Parts: sequence; structure tokens; C-alpha cells
Amino acid sequence: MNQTIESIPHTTVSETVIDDPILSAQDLCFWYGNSQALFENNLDIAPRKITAIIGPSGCGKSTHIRVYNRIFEQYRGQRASGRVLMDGLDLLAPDTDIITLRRRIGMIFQKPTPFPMSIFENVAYGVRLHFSFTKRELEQKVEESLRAAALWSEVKDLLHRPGTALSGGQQQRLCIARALAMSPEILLMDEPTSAIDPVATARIEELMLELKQRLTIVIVTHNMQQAARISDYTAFFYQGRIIEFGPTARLFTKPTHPQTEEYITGRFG
Amino acid sequence: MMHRHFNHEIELLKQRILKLGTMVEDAFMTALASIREHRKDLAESVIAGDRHIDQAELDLEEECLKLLALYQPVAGDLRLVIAVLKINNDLERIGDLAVNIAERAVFLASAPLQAFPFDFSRMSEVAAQMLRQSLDALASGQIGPARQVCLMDDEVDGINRDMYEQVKNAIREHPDRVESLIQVLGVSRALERIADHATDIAEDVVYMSSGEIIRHAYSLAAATRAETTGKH
Repeated sequence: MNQTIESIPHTTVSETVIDDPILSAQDLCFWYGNSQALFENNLDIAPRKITAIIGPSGCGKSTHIRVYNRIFEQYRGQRASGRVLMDGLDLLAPDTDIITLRRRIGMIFQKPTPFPMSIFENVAYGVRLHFSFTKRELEQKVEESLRAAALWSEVKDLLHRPGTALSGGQQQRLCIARALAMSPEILLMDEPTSAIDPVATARIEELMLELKQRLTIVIVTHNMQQAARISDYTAFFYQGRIIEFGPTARLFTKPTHPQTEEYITGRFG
Repeated sequence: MMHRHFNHEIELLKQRILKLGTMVEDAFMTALASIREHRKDLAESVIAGDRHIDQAELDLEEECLKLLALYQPVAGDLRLVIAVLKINNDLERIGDLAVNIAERAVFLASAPLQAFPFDFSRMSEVAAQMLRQSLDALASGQIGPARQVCLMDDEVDGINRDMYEQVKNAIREHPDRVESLIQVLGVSRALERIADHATDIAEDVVYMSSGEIIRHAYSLAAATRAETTGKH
């Protein structure tokens, strides 16, 4: 189908109120050079819930979560304006401690990115940089993180094998373990299962449901069924704007915006 | 390509539920005619035709399950498939009730022609109109006419209650006609239930089109009122 939506998307009108959001993006804009990618978006993230961000390619969903941990600053010509509040502080403020920010907000990417080192070292590396643990404490932290990422039973006898020797799904769980070892409050996941098979995907989804007991997850996904299965809230992005945000069960049965309906039913995008 | 195929399947599903609606409406109208005209042959055709309705119901249910399993529809598409699944069931029940009326028509056609102290015309007219209008609403997806159907149900319920009283009195006056009168009461009861199913269909059309569940809205509101009144 080559249907497209001709009308300019509406700016965010959200009837869903999140009490005590852990993150609150306010009037968030983003530019790649002179090209604006996000337009005055407002989005509150509920603590210890999974929020899914969906939308067609190029709609700004990855751009949005890349603002949360300021990873975009690694690239020239990219800039954001507006505010992202966490504990009442603006994460975009120049005096924000980036190292602490990235410890509190971990990130998982589409392709697993294990370091070229052993499974143990993949998890221990960041821990050593951030915390002064004894050897015993470090070993405990690595085991605890691998268990939390549902990988321990598969790798406990292979800890000194290279992380890159694991299967795709295992590598992604290793990356999750590496992020969890930093004790983050928020985990950003940018299409974390698009490069792995359905069985490995199911394991990661189960893992996410377990992890939300203690941390907040924001996931960008192209897989609508995945968003419907695992998330508590869903935001639909289109052309850099948040068109609709609400509880996932409501958004997937009774979307209020026609553009959301057309996208999730596959009539465009 | 997948979506084009799915849209095609959805269109087919709509056509099939409307076709079933037409079959059921035909059966109902023929059953009414068999009562009105004392036509045993018409009644028998309704009874014989029911297996086609049953088969169509099974086929449609299978089709809905297939669409749910293969395409995992969401939003309006999901509501449509769920509404069709439920309406399918209501239509099959109306088909059975048309058979029920036809069976009573067979009995009444062979009984001596008698003038009853009441007539079905208003009740059957309203029930038939409700079915017609709920099916029209299903075809058009319009909420307004669907809501009207729900309001019409009260009249049929009222006539059915009156009919019960009238039959009771008639039995007292003509104890020799008790069997025929009980058949007549059965027809009235079937009409009342057909009107209930037409209301269910209309409620599902409202859900399908708007996502709003209006079922039990009236009784829930009345219960809330009663509770509130009770507190004071």
C-alpha cells in the first residue's frame, strides 16, 4: 500500500496524565544540522513501567530517546532544546554530570554491541570504572547482573570466553547485563530485538517484564505486536511529533487519533 | 502486500456477516408469514433452511479465528472482528428462534382457525424493524440508528408482558384452547428474544464503530442510582 497521510500532524494533545513521572520531556526540539527532527514534544515517562515508542521510520522515535542520556552529543551538528526533567533537574542543563547521567540511564541498541573481551569483563568493565569494589564484590556484581539478564545459567561456566562468541540473543542479554551492572534507574532500548530470532525475542521480552519490577524501561520498536504485548504506555510519533500517548491497551483497541489508527492497522507507514 | 490481503479479507468478512444477516432476516420474515397466513409449507421451509444458517455461522466463526490468529488485528480492525464474532452468534440464535416460531406455526396451522383476542402485528413489526435497522447499522457502521434500536426494545418487552396477561385471561375464558394459547405465548416470547438479540447486534455495532461499550449501561446506571438513593 502506498497510502500516505497528507495532513500535517497535530501537535501533542495528551489526555493521559502520568503521576510522578521519572522523566518529563517538555517542549523538546531536536535538530540534525539545520534539519529539525523533533517539534516541541511533551512526554512523561511513568516509573517502573514500560513505555513503548512507535511510529514509521524517520518519525523521531530513536532521536527522542537519544536525548534522554545525551548520547547525541557524541555527534557533531546535533542539538536539542527544551527540557528533560529527572528528579526536578533538567538533564539538558550544561552542568549535568554526563557520567552519572549515563550510569542512571542505560541504553541497549538494535545490534548487540559486546566489547571484544570476555563475558566476565564485558560486565565488570563499567563496574570497575564507577565503583571501587573488592574482587569478591565485583564477582558478585557480575553474577547478579548476569542472573538479572537471565543469562547466568547459560554462561556461568564460560565466563572467560569472548562475549562475541555468544549467539545474537545471548549477546543482547549480555549487553543488558552490562547495563544492569551500573544499577540504572532507567533502561532505554532502541529496537533491542529487531536483529534476533523470535525465541530469543521472547526471552528478552520476558526479561523486560521482570526488570520493570525495579526499573523503568523506554523501548523504541518497529514491532507493533511487541509494543502491544509488553508495554504499559505507548506513544505514537509521526514526523517528529507525538500524535498520541496513552495506556497501551487503550491505544491498541481504541486509538483516538485517526493517524494512530491508520498506522497501527498497517494502512500507512 | 500483506495489508492489502488483510483488507481484502476484512471486506469479505463484512460481506459474509451481512449475507448471514439477510438469510436470518428472510427466515424470520417467513416464520412470521407462516403464523399470519396459517401456512404450514412456509413454516417447514424455515425449519429446513436452518442448517444453512448454522453452517454459515460455523464458517464465519472459523474465519474470525483465522483472522485473529494470522493477522493479530488492532484498533478498528480488531473491534470489527470481535463484533462480527459476537453478531454471528446473535444471528444464529435469531435463526433458531425463527425455527421456534415456525414450529409453533406448524401446530397452529393444523389447529382449527380461531380468532385470538390479540394480534401480533405490532410486536412482530417492531421486532422486524429492530432486526432490519441493526443490520443496516452493521452495513453502514452508523451509530445513531444502532442506538435507536436499543431504545425500541422497551416497547417489545412491554407488549410481551401484556401478552402474558392476555393469554392468561384467554385461557380462563377458553380452557379448550389452552394448547393453542400456549403456542401463541411461545411466539410472543420468541419475538421478545429476537428483539433482545437485535439489541445486542446494535450494541456491538456501536462498539465496532466507536469503541464504546454500551451494554448494561442502562441497568448499571439504574443500579448506581438505586445505591445512591439508598445511601441517603
